[in-house]
Amino acid sequence: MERMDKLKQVMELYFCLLDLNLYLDTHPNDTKTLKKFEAINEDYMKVRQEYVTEYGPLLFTDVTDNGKRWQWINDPWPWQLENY
Amino acid sequence: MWIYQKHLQYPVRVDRPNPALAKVVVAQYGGPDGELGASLRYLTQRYTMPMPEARAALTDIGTEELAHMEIVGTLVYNLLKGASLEEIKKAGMDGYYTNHDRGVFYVDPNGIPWSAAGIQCKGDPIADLTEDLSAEEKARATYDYLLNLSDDPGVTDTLRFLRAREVVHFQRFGELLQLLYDRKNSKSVW
Repeated sequence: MERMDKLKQVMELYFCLLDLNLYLDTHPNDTKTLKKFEAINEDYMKVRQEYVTEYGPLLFTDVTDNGKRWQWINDPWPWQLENY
Repeated sequence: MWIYQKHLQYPVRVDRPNPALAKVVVAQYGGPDGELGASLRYLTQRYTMPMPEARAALTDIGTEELAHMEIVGTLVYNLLKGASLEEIKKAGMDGYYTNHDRGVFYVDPNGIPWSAAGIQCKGDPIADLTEDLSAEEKARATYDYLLNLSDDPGVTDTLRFLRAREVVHFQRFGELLQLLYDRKNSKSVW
């Protein structure tokens, strides 16, 4: 369950960025929101790296391979709710 | 191009196998107002969009709809997983079972496969953005009906999130349409 708690932190921050992204698409000159995006993005990059280091890649380009085995194929995939 | 992130956009919780609920939730996977259609509609309308704001929003909303398709697929998968044949028959899912077992497929609750006939790309930005506004409201109404039918608190929570996203998308499309009219009516034309 600890893994899911950490992943939820990543998901929460990423969702903030995604929703701000849509807003900025139609309000590209809103500098206050741009600053907010940048601040949340800093937190997001930090928390996602913590997750990746502890539990494995979120993107296939996240290098967590120990040099022996390709980690990307490891379960759980997002739909395997009981495996987190 | 696209990249895949190994997590859902929003957490999914399913309390027990429930083929009766799967039967209706699949509407948002392969139904005419579902997430597959939403995604494909926006991602193909973007090519001929005349404004940078609209090209970006259609790309980003179309991409978000793919993530919603994954959430709905996860719901259907987990609602069918472990369901007994007896439960499947009782839920009227025996027809679905015959064609797909407990797999997740692009059909509506009556087994009608998804069709591109339910979406459009007119190449006219006013026509396309107006269709998008309507599409978001149809998807929102479908989520309202599903919320009325859901007897699983976890599924209800996820459906509420997805419903709220339709409202946000409607807002963005409304802003784009307004921008389009403003620029169309101004002296400087793109």
